[in-house]
Amino acid sequence: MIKAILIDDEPLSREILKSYLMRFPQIQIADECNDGFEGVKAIQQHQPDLIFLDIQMPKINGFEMLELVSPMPAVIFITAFDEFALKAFEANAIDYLLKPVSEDRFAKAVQKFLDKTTQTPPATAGLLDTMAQSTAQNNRIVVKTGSKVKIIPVHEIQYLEADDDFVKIVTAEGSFLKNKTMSFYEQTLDAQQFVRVHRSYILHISQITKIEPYQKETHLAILRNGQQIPVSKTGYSKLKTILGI
Amino acid sequence: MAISKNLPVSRLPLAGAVLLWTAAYAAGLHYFFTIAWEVAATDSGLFNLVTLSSVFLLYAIIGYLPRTGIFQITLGVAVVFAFLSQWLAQQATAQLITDPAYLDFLNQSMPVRWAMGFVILVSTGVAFIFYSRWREVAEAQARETDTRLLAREAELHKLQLQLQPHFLFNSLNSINALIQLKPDQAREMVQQLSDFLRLTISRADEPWITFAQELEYLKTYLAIEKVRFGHRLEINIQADNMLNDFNIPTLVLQPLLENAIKFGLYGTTGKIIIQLIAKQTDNGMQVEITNPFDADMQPSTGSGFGLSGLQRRLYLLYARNDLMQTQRTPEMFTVKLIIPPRP
Repeated sequence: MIKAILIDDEPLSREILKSYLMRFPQIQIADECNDGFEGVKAIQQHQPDLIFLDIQMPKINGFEMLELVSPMPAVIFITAFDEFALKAFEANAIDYLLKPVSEDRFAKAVQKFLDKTTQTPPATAGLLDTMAQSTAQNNRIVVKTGSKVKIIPVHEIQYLEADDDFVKIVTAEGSFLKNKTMSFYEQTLDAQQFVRVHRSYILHISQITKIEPYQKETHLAILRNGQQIPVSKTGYSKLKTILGI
Repeated sequence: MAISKNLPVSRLPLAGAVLLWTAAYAAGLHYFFTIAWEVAATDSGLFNLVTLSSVFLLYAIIGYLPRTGIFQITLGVAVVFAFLSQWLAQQATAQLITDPAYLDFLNQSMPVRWAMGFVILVSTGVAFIFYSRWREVAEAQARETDTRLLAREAELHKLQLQLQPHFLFNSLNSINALIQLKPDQAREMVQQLSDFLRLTISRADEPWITFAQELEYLKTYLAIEKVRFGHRLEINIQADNMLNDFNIPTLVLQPLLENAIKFGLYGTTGKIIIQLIAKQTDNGMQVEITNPFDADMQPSTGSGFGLSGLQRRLYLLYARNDLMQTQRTPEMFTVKLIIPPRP
């Protein structure tokens, strides 16, 4: 049995998908969600194989919701938003359907999924990165703490720190882990505001109050809250160009 | 660009003036220099005909002159023309009239004739240049006004027609679902959507409508949104009946309401109430639209057409930038719109 979840904020939109899915008795609808928050919970709870996902939804959009989910199920986007279509395709979403969805087109998308499940699971890393880019450009990063979802405005970030396979995002409220790489954030965050000062640190430059020499060619950046962040030799020269010293 | 060749005065008065001048010229010759009438008339006719021709020739030349140095060149040409034309007239007259006393007078009068020809040519030439320039400027101004008017109309039209394609596609999606689930409601929604589109299209050509008409349009729009979001959306409209016949710019309220619904629905989860209050004021009306919103939310992209487009439209219509104000509290977002009487 294949488990699926429908995530769309319009009940009618879910209804029609449900009726289309009756043609596929092997797919069972495990849950229906009104928004991304419900979606995160339902995915955690049911571990579905496939989700049908709207993009424009309350508070967090479909892309942002996916960032909070692991392991990632196969995704079929269903949306009236056509500006993301190309992005989703490049990123190996199973399919991208535009509303209003015809039954034939829907059946084709599901068939595509069924054909793929017999092979290797879909490559989703690319999808995640493309999506995260779109959200980092939104000037916010969505994180999960326990079962709660938190939206961090980029300007509230103090610094980012490498933490094994994760990145720790530090704000005045605390720190949040995100399953991403440092180089990802180095590329997506605004380079005028965020500088990779060290292999393990990206600093929000508005947080810096002082830079002091440390050992040999390294320095220490002192943040507003007194915290000290190591600055490497290349990091220091990057800082110098941006701060104009 | 060369100066236009059109003459500043219409033809009939010009001909009259030339005839009068010719007659006065002849009379002058007759009374001051005791020249016989026939001789004076021949003299005046020939001299003035030649002078007039040279004036026209000068205009033709001015038409082709470059802007820089036009006065100097005109002056030079006028000198040459004055000399040539009077000399030509002298030769012609001498052929027709053989009276030695007159011929003597003719030769003696030449310097005065040259001077007169010169004055006539220069003054009419310079006047012509100024007139042509003034007309050029006036034409450019008229063109500019026209262009601005056209651009303004086009811009207004475009702003009015900012129909959200998402709205259309999502509505079609709802209809698609209803056809299968509740065919009666599907039919109703097709009707509502058609009404809405018809009003949107037909009103794009009418810059002004009454408040009552706009309200009716809003209700059609809301009926559609209710089908999509009825489970979450409640709308509360309070409008003063006195306002029914008040003229407002077409489609200003709908984008505001659409914006409020979008912010309300996508900025929060759970049920929302949107409030629209329209009141009469001393000088016009005031509309307040309030929607719940979450201050912690960073606005996501895709807000699309919203308040800036409307602000621009209001400016184009009323030449005022202070007609729209927004207020935020931690939970509510309010847009206040002042609509003055139609200018």
